[in-house]
Parts: sequence; structure tokens; C-alpha cells
Amino acid sequence: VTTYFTRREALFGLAALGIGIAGASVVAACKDDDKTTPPPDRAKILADVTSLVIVPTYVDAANQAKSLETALGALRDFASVDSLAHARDAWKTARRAWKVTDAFVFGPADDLSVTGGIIDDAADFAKIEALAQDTAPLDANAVNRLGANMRGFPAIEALLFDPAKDDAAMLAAFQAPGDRRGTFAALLGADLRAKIDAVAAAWNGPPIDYANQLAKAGRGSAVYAAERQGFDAVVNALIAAAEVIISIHLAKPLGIDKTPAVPAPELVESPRSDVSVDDIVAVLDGIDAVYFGRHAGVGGLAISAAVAAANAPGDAKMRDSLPKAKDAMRAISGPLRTAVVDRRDSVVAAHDAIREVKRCLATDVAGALGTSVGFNVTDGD
Amino acid sequence: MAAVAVPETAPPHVEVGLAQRIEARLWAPVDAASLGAFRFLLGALLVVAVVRHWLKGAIFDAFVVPTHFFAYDGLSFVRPLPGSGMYFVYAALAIAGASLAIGFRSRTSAAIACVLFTYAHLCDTANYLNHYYLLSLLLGLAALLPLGTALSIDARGRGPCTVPAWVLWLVRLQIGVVYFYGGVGKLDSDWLFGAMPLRTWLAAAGDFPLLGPILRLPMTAYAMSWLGAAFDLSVPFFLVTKRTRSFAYAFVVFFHVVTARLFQIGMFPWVMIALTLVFFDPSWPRTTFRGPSWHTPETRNVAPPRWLFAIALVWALSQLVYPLRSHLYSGDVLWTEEGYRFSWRVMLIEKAGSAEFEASDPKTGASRIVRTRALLTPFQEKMMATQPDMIRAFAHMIADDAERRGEPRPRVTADVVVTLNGRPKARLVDPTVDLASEPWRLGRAPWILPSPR
Repeated sequence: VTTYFTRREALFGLAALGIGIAGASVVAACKDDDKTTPPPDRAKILADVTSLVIVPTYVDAANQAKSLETALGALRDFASVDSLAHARDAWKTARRAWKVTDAFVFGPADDLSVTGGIIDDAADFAKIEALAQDTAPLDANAVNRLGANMRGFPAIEALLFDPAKDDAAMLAAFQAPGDRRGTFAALLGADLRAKIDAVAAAWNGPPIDYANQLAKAGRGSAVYAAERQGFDAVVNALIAAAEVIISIHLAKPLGIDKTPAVPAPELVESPRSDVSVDDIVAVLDGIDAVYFGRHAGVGGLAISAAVAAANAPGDAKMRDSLPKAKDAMRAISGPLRTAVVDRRDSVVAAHDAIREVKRCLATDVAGALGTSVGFNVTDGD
Repeated sequence: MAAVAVPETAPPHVEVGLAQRIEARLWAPVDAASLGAFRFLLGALLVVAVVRHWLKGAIFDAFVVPTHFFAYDGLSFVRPLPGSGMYFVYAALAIAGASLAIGFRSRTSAAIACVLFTYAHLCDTANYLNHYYLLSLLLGLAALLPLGTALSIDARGRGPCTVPAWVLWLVRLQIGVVYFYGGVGKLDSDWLFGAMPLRTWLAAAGDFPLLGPILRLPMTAYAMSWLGAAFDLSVPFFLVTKRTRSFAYAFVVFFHVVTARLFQIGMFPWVMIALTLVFFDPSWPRTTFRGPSWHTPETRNVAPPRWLFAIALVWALSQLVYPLRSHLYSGDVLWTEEGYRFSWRVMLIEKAGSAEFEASDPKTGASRIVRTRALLTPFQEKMMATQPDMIRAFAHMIADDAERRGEPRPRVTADVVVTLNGRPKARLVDPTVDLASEPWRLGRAPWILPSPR
């Protein structure tokens, strides 16, 4: 074998092979209608998603957390029907603004280990109430030492809302001598605001400047060595957000993760304020904002465009399934905690609709972008 | 194996038959130096792989975190050691790899490394990688063949050594089939006429220095698809041809460096760049590093026993035939993945899946949704969601778990949708079939739905 060809013959052979390959690939490509148009620029998509959606959403959340802190301070200083109502509204607004960020729980929200302290959904109501009625000194340091199940949105919710009590009783608790309940709420508000500020700051400027790290993935980013990794983070966060809604926030209260299915209304998010449906719609809004690259009426180059270029039917399914999922959630009448018991069909329908969103994200979107498993990982490690 | 002196003069020329000529070629002595270098590189790469796994936390992620493991069919007894046990396995593997590299009790070191490495990767199907399989095979060869006769502690002070040519060719064949069958797998309509999945992956290559904008063009994906197929199919032959060897090896280096930069394929490119050196002249380490000639009266010829040659023939035949077994199954192998593993099909599919399982009491019909993440790691879940045999295995896990809890064995059905190479998602398995009662089958699994291709 080693002596059948001269070096010149071998080189000619290699050249002929190269020409043959080039010709064959050109012929194959000619059957493709879209052989010269590059797909949407993923660097721009990442930059737009970061600057037009993620950062502004965190800024919104930080602003609303500040408003909540102010409202809780006002309630502490002068507990009245108006200040209680204002604090409750501020809580709901801040809560909703924060829940939108559930669509992109990666980066600082994970790295700073603050997520559990902000949105833990298993608040220990008994401990919170006991502390509210205790006499031990209560200051910022004491709050700082509390566990995640006694801080954040759920803890403040526990102080502001209780469907078992009327508003007068709730107000009376804030008007008790010593203002302890109001002080506790205000301290929790400041603690929450500081945490959300920290996440927003980590995204929005030095020293971490996470937005910039994501936007320049693969182009000098200290966090994402490749553009693909930045995209993976964004898309996998979308999938995870949908999965959490399905498996945690709907399946568990419905009880469909057990045999026989027994509703567990106590497991809904925000059980006292009855904004569980709004919580889920807010997360879907976050998924929508990231996927379509738009926030507050401003849009950029979106993930949707990259998916459409590779799998137009897949993008169409996302366009169809997301509004349907939101509509299905909004179609649940009354609080989710009662709906999982009395109006299960509507909750199951919403669960199914969000499952379809998750399926589209995990298959059509991830497959079109090559972000699910990168490529078949049997090919390397 | 007996060491015999190499005859100083060639035997007188006589007319011989084809079989005898082939036998003479196979048993002709060749310098063992390149096999010594191969052994060194194999052992060194193994050490690097272990260190890399350790530092990345991959041992913890693969063996400590999971609560359930996807056993290979018939090998359910292969389980990871509890607690920190697998760290000891990997430590022993590193020692065996280092010992193999320096050629200290080479065959024993290789046998230990082969057993440990193969054991670690048989614990969970989710961890299957083509190059892990390759390393197991090469370590197996190193345990059988006299690769420690040169550049080793075992051969220290013994002068140059030769081995029969078939030893060298068996190792070359093992490397060559990886490329060749990799190329055969690429003779597929998606690869050649859709430029998939390269087109999907290259769309994310905009950050490649200088060439990023070009790589993103669909035309580039077509060119690279055809070039990749031609490369895989032809490079083993160009590597064994003396006239083209240098060009071919330069292309091997270029090809693997580019793919290493473009795709996250870990050590595979470096393994192939290092180990394809075995295609060079058997004396390349001596000529490269100016070692003593092997043509000396003191040169020893290590002649393995005939039974080992018989094993080598069986090995070679199995490596040529086994990768073709997917053709015995009906259906699209990229979709069903029946016969996909251990057949050197590399980089052919971009699959993304969503798998939802429901367990129901066979008597009452009461059902529950199974939360996959409660049983599997995210990585295992991702791997399982697109591979039918793992989907069936997971259904069995769910049913087995229920039985262990004292519950009646449930029916387990799966609603699995998968995208293949950019197509809209399609259902992968029959959602009405109780997968927990489906046995392993030698033939086509009837519950796998037809490919969307």
C-alpha cells in the first residue's frame, strides 16, 4: 500500500478529492433555498435580551422593592386602613415585579444565594407570627440571622395578609403597643430591598457587571467562554421556570404527583394574599419577555427570530402556546387555593397549557438552537 | 511470550502461496518503538482524563449525586461504590494509567486500568461516550498485546525490540474503525443534504475568532458536512499510505483542533491527535528523538503465542462487524438509537426531548404524574428524554421504586416528544404502552414510534 503512489499522484488524488467534496457540497446546498443567509446574530440576541429585558426587569423589581420598603415604613410609623391597604398593594406590585425574574434565575440570583431568602415559598407562618408577638429585641441584625422561611416576600405576606382574619383585626395587630409588628414588617422590607438591590446591582454594573458578561459571551466574557454557553444559560433558565410552575406550583397543590391525588391547597404560592395565579402569570410574562426580546414596549433581536430561522413551525408553536397558557391561568376563577379543590378542571387545563409551553421550550426551541444538550453528548465530554 | 533473536540474514527466496505471504507479513518483525510511544500516550491521557474528571467535580456529579443509575441491559449488578468509593476507583485508575505510561508491568497496569475504567463507565448508560468506549478497547488491547516492550521500565536495559506486524496493525485497525465507521454514519441524508446537525451548531459559532461570520453561513455547514464525511471515510487509508501520511496527519491535527474549538467535546480531539501517531513508521520515536537503531544483533523479537493471534483475529473481526448491528434493526437508527451506541456514530444528531411519566394503579386506575427530577439528575433526565432504551429503563425504575415502598407495581406510561435535527417535535414512544412491563428485546422495540424523517 505504501508504495503504490508517487507523492505527486497522492497530491493530485487529494486535490481531486477536495474538488469533488467542494462540488458535492455545492450541489447539495443548491437544493437549499436559504444557503447564503446567515441565521440571526446570536451575540446581538444575547445583548438585546440582557439590556432590553433582564436588566430593566431587575431594575423594575428593585424599584418596586423600594416602594414596598417605603410603604412598610409608613405602616410602621402610622398604622391605618390606608397605610395597610397601601402596603398590601405595594407588596403585590413588588411581588409581581420580582416573579417576572423567575424566568431567568441564573447568574447573580444563584451566585449570591439570595433567591431563597427573597422568594422562599415555604414560609413558616407559625414562627413568623411568634416572632411578631415576641418581646426579644428586633433589629436589622436579628432579621439578618433569620432563616429563609422567615424572610422575604412570604414573611411580609404573612404579616400583611390573613384570609382567616378581617381587616380590622389585621390593623389592630399593627396598632398594638410597641409597634413590633410594623417594625418587623419594615425590617423585612428593608432586608428584601437590600437583597433585590444586590441582585440588580450585580447585573447592572461593576464589579460583577453580569449583564456585560452575558452579552459578550464567547468574546472575552469571564463567565461564558463561548457564545453557546450564554445561550444555554438563558434557554435552560426558561425551561426550568416552566418546569417549576408545572411540577411545584401547580402539580403539588393539585396533588397530582401522588396516588390517589389529594389536593394540597396549603402548597400554593402566596397562599395568604391569594395572588398565586398572578405569580404564575408573571413568570409566564417573564418567559414571554425573554423569548420575544421585549419589555415595556421596547423590543430587540429575539430568541424567537433564531428559532424561526431554524424551525419556523417550532417558533409558531411557541407563539401559540404562550398566550394560551396565560389565558388558561387567567381563566382560573378565584384564589388558586380554592380552585385546586373546587374548580380542579380549570387548574388542570392551565397545568396542561403550561406543559405545552415547557415542551416547546425543551424540544422545538432547544433543538432549533442546539442548546438542550449542546449536541449529543455521546460525542465527547 | 518468547523473546527470540532476529535472524541476521534474510531466508533464501522461495515461491510461497498467498496465505503464507500474508502470514509472513503479519508476523514480520517491526520496531516496537511506536507501540511504546502509543502505550505512553494512552496511559498519560488516562491520567489527564482522571485529573480532569476529579477537578471538574465529574466524579461527584456522576456517582455521588444520582440516586438512580441506568444499568446496561444484563449488567444491573454493576453499581457505583457507595459514598466516596468511586474516588478510590479513580485514584487507582490514575495510578494504573501512570504505571502504564511509564511501562511498569505494562500489561498488568493496562488490565487494571481497563477493568476500572470500564467498570466506572458501565455504572450508568447516561455517561456513555464514544471515546470512553474507545479508551476501554485500547486499554483492553494494551492488556493483551506486548506494548511494554519499548520505551518502558519493563524493557529497561534490554536494548531494541520488535513485535510481529499484526500487533501494530491491530492497534491501527482499532483507531481506523473509529474514523471509518464515523464516516459511514455520515452517509446520511440529514448530514449530506441537510447539513444537519452542523448547521444548528455552527449557527452558534459566531464567536469563533475571525471565521465566526463565515461559519454561521449555511453554505459553510454543507461544506464542512461533506468534508467531514470524506475525512472520516478516507483518513485511515491516507494514514497507512506512506506517501500521504504526513498530509493526512496534518489534516487530522487541523480537523481535531478546529472541532475542539468549535464544539464542547472535551478530550476526544486530543485523544485522536495523540493516538493516530501510531500510523507513522514504527520507528518514528527513534528517528524523532535520535534513539539507537533497532537493526542490531541484540534486537529481540517478542513473539506472542499463536492463541493471542487468534484472539486478535476475533477482536478485529468483531470490531469490523459489531458497529454494523444497527442495520439489523428496522427503522431509523438516529431516532430509535437501537444499535447506536458502540458503533462510532459521532456528531450525527441534535436531539432535544421532553419526557413526562405517569404511574397508575393497575386496579383502581388512579394515576399520578412522576416528577422526573425527584429521581434523576438534570443530566440523566436530559439523556433519558431522547433515548428510548433509557426511557423504558426509567419506567422500570419508577415501578420498582413503588414496589419497594410496598405499593402495587404501577403501570407506567410516558409522553415523550423529541426534536431531531431541527425538525418539529414528534412523539417518540407510544404513550399508551406500559413501559414498566416491557422487557428488553433483541429486536425492534414495538413501542418506539416511527421516525419523523
